Amino acid sequence: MSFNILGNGLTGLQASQQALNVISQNIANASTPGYVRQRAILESQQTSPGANVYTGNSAQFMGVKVTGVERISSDFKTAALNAATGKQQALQAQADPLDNIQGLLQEPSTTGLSQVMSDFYQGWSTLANSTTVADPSATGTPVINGAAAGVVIQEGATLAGNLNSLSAGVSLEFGNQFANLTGLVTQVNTAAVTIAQLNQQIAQGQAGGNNVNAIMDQRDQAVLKVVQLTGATSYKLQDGSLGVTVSGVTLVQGNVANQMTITGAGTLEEATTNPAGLMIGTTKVSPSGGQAAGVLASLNVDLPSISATLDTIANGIRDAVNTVHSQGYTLDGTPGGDFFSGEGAAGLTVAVTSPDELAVSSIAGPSTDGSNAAKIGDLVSASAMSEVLGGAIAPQSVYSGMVTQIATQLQGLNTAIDSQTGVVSTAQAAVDSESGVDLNEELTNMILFQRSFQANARVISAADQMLQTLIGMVS
Amino acid sequence: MTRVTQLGQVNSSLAALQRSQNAAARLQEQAASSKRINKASDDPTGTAISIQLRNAQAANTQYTRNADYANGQLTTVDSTLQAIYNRLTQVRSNIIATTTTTSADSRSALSAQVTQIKSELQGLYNTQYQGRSIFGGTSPNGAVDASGTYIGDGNPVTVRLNAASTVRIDTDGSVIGAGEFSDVLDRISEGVMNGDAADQLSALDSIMNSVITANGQVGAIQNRVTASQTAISSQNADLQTSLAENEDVDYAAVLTAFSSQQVAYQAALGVTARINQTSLLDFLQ
Repeated sequence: MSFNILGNGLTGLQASQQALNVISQNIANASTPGYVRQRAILESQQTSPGANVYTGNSAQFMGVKVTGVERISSDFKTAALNAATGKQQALQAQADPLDNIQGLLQEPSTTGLSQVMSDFYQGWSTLANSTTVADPSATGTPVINGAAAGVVIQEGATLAGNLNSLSAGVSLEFGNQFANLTGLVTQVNTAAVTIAQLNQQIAQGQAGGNNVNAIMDQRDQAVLKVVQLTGATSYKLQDGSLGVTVSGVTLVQGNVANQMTITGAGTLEEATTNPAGLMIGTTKVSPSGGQAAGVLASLNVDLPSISATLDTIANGIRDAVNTVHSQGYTLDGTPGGDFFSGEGAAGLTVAVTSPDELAVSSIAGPSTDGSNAAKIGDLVSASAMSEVLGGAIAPQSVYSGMVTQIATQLQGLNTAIDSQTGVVSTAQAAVDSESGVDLNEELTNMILFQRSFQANARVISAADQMLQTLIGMVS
Repeated sequence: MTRVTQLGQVNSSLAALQRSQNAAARLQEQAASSKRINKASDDPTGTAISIQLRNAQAANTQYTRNADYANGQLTTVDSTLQAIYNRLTQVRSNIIATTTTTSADSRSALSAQVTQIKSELQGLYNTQYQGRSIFGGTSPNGAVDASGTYIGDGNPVTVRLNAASTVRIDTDGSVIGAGEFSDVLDRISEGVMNGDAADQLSALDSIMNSVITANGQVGAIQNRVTASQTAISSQNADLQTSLAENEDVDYAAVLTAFSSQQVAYQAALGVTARINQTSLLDFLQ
């Protein structure tokens, strides 16, 4: 045996200290989001057999050494959590605008468009009953019931205004979502640059044998950000850096970050001809997850479809009412013109300005007839409406269909979000279980290395005594 | 074995508390608004049903207004026809009276009364309801002009009682003698003076018959309107019930769910507080 006891004791002290150092870092970050627990890797040291020529012992004990600090995380579990989070974000981003539109529609209630439509047709029926109030024989020309006619024009304006504001609401939502997409792309680009920079630091640090665990934590957070925004996937490269791709197109490779840009017009009018899209460099990307996927679905599918449906409703009402209105005559026998004018939900307005222009009569001459007004009032029935429109689906049915469709889609999304939230928390629990700090475990380890420190100190003191004994013999 | 970690415990406790609070908030919204469907997405099918029920309700409101209007006009038509019939009966009794009266003064008085009745009838035939002649169709000038000619256009005035049927609420003046009474009464007035008024009895009776027939028809239509009013109001009650069943909240169910939710929430809070209280630290000296 040789007097390696002191040296062994020293390595033990050093290893215990380092291990306690790592433990203290874990405890300090027990509640830090995204922190991945670390562990000192201890290895026993021994010389190769036959190395010691003096003692003839085949091996020398060389104590313990901390060979590295391990970062305990599972790439698989992290990837699963990222994917789940990306999907949840996509669903939420698609549900939000629909929820806002649903708020605009206010159905079922007594204030929604459905009620406004009914009120309008009721106004016509009432006018049909009391077409005139003044005694016509006094003047020889019939005078329209100004109050009832005024109500019809006012209800028409309310109906048109209601469709105008619904259309404006959908346009506004489109604008908000486009702005949202713009902000989102800025965040992606910032995060991509961060990942590239951290990649560089990690590759350099690992090559130099440094501990880069904290930088890896930061990079994981940045990757999570990109995943939440775009549903990106990441892969490890040889030098420790990460590659990030969005729908197969490279966003980050090593220390190079590509720029993501937005294409397409930012207006609802051009949503179908020039739809919103994302590009990385010159390649088009179609994210399958992340907020971007939800926002794009909303911009390119949901909102344009709602807007088109509102236009169908507005044009249907305009055409049907105008058709019947222009078949009739005013009370003095003048042929009726258009009641509504304008194109689409945004443009619908009441063309009639004075109660005298209302074609309430079916008789081509002076009369007190209100049968044409009654015909317009009958349009409250979907079948009568459909007949006037040549078999097309009645606007009121289109509307209730749209409300139901939005509601069903939103309900589906909400259910999916709920279940996806469950998936995310399971994935989160798996990651936490793998990489999170367990205080009890750390405290136990702390006791272990505290004891180890004490024991090694004891070893040194024992060696000291042995040396004392030897030296005493000499003197 | 799953490792239980600090952050893991916090995350899962938070998620559980969040879920619990969400569920409570949903129940609270229902209880506060007393509506089961607060947003269309709460129940898309229920929303579609609600829209349909409300449309049906709106249509019924209009049918009720129509029926009220019809009732008003029909009552006027009914009482006017009765007044016309009464006046014509007076004329008839005047004719009968001439057969027993030989005094020229009496005849002249009877004749003057007939002329007087003619002008009354002129007014009755031109009766209006809310600005529209009830016997003149949709003519703006009324039913009979000063010379006793029928000037109505015979266009029916109808109202819709329900989705399937409309009723006529006026009477065609040409059928109830609006164009003849003037001539007939002129002849009677002359005949009363001359003593040959009895020749006009058949013409007068024919007008009276047509008036009484029309009156019967109006009564029948009014019955129909009343029946329809009753049907609509009972239908409305049914619709209201259906709407309430579809949209309104079942308080007992919501409150029960809410209190059990509350218990679950408190338990979750309690457990979260306890779990994070104890650790190995409590036992280390």
